[in-house]
Amino acid sequence: MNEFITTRDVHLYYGSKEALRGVNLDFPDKGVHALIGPSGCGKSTYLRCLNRMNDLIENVKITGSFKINGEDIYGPKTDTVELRKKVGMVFQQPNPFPFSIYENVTYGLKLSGIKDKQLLDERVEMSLKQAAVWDEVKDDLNKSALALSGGQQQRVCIARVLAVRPQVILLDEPTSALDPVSSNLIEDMLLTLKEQYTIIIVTHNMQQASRISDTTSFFLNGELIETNETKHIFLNPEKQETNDYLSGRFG
Amino acid sequence: MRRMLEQQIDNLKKEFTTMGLNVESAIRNAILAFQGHDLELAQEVIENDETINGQETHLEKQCAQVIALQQPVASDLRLIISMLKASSDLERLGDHAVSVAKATKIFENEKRDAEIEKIVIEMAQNVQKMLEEIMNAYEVLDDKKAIVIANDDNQNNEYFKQIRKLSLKEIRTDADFAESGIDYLNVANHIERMGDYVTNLAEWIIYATKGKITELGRNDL
Repeated sequence: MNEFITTRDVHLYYGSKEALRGVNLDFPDKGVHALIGPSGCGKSTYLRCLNRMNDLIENVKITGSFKINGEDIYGPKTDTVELRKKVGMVFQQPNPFPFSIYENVTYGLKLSGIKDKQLLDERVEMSLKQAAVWDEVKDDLNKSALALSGGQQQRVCIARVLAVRPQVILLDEPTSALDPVSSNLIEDMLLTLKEQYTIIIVTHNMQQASRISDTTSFFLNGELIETNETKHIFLNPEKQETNDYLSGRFG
Repeated sequence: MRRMLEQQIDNLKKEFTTMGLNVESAIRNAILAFQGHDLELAQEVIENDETINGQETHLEKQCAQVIALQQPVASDLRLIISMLKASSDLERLGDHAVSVAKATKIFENEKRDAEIEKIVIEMAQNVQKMLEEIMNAYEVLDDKKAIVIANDDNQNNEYFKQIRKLSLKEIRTDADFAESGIDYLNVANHIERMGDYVTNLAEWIIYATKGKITELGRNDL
């Protein structure tokens, strides 16, 4: 199989607690890939490994191999700033910087040394359009991003990720703090973006996973129980634990 | 949430079982009417078909409602889809019982043949037994039993061949038997179709348990 992201024998320890117990999981290039499972199952921990966000937590030990397009994410030469440009992340709570909308979207670009006003303007417009929020904010680009609604803030945060042209977008429950209308806008946006990006989303909303993802992976107690095409997982899962979790028998 | 879904699935299963019992009784009575030339009982089967049709419609509505409101997935969803599909098969079984009941009326003014009729009754009893067994297998979702029951449909093909052979033989020797011969074949055809619908029910049990769409009784398993 021609996989874009490959992870092998992933173990992660928070001190002595083993939060990931030997996960082997691959993702093909492009598409939406959902990670599901009950709270504490390790899905968010796993997601955060993919752009080394767990490095920021003290007392964490990670073993195993992580490769994106053949490159070792945890290799000695890997620059985490460069990595996070390639592998962007969107969190549960919208976290815009306390700047204008324009400055939020150009933040990553300016860090990379891009100063060309025309290029910045183009990227802002394109990213906000891709994030399905352009029409709502185009006349207020200098307004503080904090003044936007939660749903708009989240889409501006997604635009901020898109502006640096990542290959992979990680989303950790991106709509759980949003109303259904904003959630729908983000789901529609992800369905458009998946043609160009590899999107990995952690969600507690089973309907969301079934609506938008191409593949689904089910985690339980730090282990990957089952991964398959979403239609297969939701209609005919192979493992009893998956069936029971999806049917609401636990979790 | 889970308890509500379980309760609603239980209700669907109860409705499905009740409908199955009604169809079983329609087939049993149609055979009894045919066997005993009982026009009154035949009429009862014909009139009772409306109840069966109504049960199918109601079950369909209930299944759609549970799918829409509870959004079941995996084995729950497969079970509901299987009952939704199997209820149309039950409804068609009821239609064929009505056709056999109507044939009882037609035979009122026709020549009858004890030998052919004996095989027709045996065939019908075989189908009736298959239906009873398949409804029991549905109750406990026994896919292995479903395959065994579906295999019994081969016996119906044998009965049909015998009925056809005897009817044609009679028609050749007795021109007055032509109408009866055709009507016996017609009745046998209805019973043979009943066997096919029981086989469909077996296939829905397999879908509910294994998630596989299979074709049973076609010698490819």
